[in-house]
Amino acid sequence: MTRAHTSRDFEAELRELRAHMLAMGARCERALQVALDAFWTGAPELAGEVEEIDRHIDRDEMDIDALVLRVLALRQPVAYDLRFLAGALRLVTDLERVGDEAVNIAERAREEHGVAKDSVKSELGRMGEQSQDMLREALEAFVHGESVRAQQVLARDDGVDDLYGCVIGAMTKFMSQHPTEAAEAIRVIHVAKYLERVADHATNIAEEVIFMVRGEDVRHTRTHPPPKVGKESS
Amino acid sequence: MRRVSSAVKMRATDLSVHYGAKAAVKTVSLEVRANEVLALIGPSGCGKSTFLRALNRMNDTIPEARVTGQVELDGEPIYGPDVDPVLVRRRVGMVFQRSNPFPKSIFENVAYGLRVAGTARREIPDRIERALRQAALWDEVKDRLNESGTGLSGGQQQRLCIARALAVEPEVLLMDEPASALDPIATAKVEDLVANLRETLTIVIVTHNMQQAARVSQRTGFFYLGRLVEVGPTTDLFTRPRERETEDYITGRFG
Repeated sequence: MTRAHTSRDFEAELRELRAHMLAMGARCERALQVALDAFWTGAPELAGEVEEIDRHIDRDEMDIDALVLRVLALRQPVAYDLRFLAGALRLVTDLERVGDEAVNIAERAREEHGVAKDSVKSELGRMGEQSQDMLREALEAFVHGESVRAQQVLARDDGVDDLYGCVIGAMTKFMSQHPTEAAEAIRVIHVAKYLERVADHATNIAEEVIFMVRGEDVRHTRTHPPPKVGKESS
Repeated sequence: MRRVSSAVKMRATDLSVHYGAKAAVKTVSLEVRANEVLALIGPSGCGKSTFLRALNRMNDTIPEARVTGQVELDGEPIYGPDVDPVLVRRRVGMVFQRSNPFPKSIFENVAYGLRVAGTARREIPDRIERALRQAALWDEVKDRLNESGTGLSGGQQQRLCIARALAVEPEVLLMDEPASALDPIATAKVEDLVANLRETLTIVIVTHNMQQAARVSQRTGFFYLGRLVEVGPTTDLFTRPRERETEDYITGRFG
């Protein structure tokens, strides 16, 4: 993407940073996958594994922050390097939160399950797949420095928001029909919310990639339709 | 911070400078706006200092240097048979990399240009005080104006040279690596001075120190192999330069 730096130490630091961010991204994808497996199979033992991965992700965040601060202090980077480092600080914050959302999802696996989640299996399942896919694509765009690929991630956020609206609509209806199982429906809504947040973090990462590659700040520039809360699934 | 006026103070058009057969500056067109600090950066030998020297006809003093194209000051050409280069240099002053005070008193160092310009003797003390104050040196030297300028510290000597340049009240000040031989504190004083001087004059500064260019200037031009590759607002140039050559140079991916 860019030529090697004249200073080999600086080049080595940038490579170390990139490698560490990729490893952190891979751990986030893994945490989310295990969390969703735990939730769907109702296997609480998997929740412990997610927590373990999340602890690793938290350490990644601190290590990467420290490395970025060291490079900023010692190298006074400019242009692409500066955008990469500033973007890295934001990107790891989003990744760390993806880890937290994975833990939240896995915790729901420890709770009692009924038929509520089965009634939105399709919508919630698609939310999981799409937010995982957005995260993967955003990280791929980062790895390859592809702003067009990142742009495609941005375009997909509204689809996840729509599914979220569908789940809420379905659960609202479920609660009115099964008032004694309201707690379970609320747990399903929570999981949908966590997944919606994962898609938001993937969107943020994609925006950060665009900033790194093109120097354009595209945050807060898109117009979102309001989520269609209450809409029945199609 | 004061806004940069859009008025053009100096304008170089298709300016080339040859040293014998070698082209040091190749058809550069660049404007300097009133009350801005314009920084020129680029690797050694890129032509930035030669370009700077062409702005007050300092290259005239080099026998083999040949200048083509034009430079205007307030719309008037500074190269031409009926233009007195001494008058150009009075309006467009210069400060060099190595502070070069005369082996005279602090007072006489600053008075020198005024005496050459024929300033009335009774005006000289006031003009000297004003120039030394502008150069942020007055408080440090006011009690020893008759001591030798060469006895000052490096940073003070450089500010003395700046005072000497300011005494004749130039409209433009050209600075060629003015802080490269100074320690960080003396450098900070010179940079602070540059920011204040901009209130009253226009400054073009050549520097190898990119952080310095970023700190003191409103616009920055990048020179490479005698060409002006890119010029633009300093913030843009250091965050998202337009040209690949600029990006490679400022991020240290050169050569």
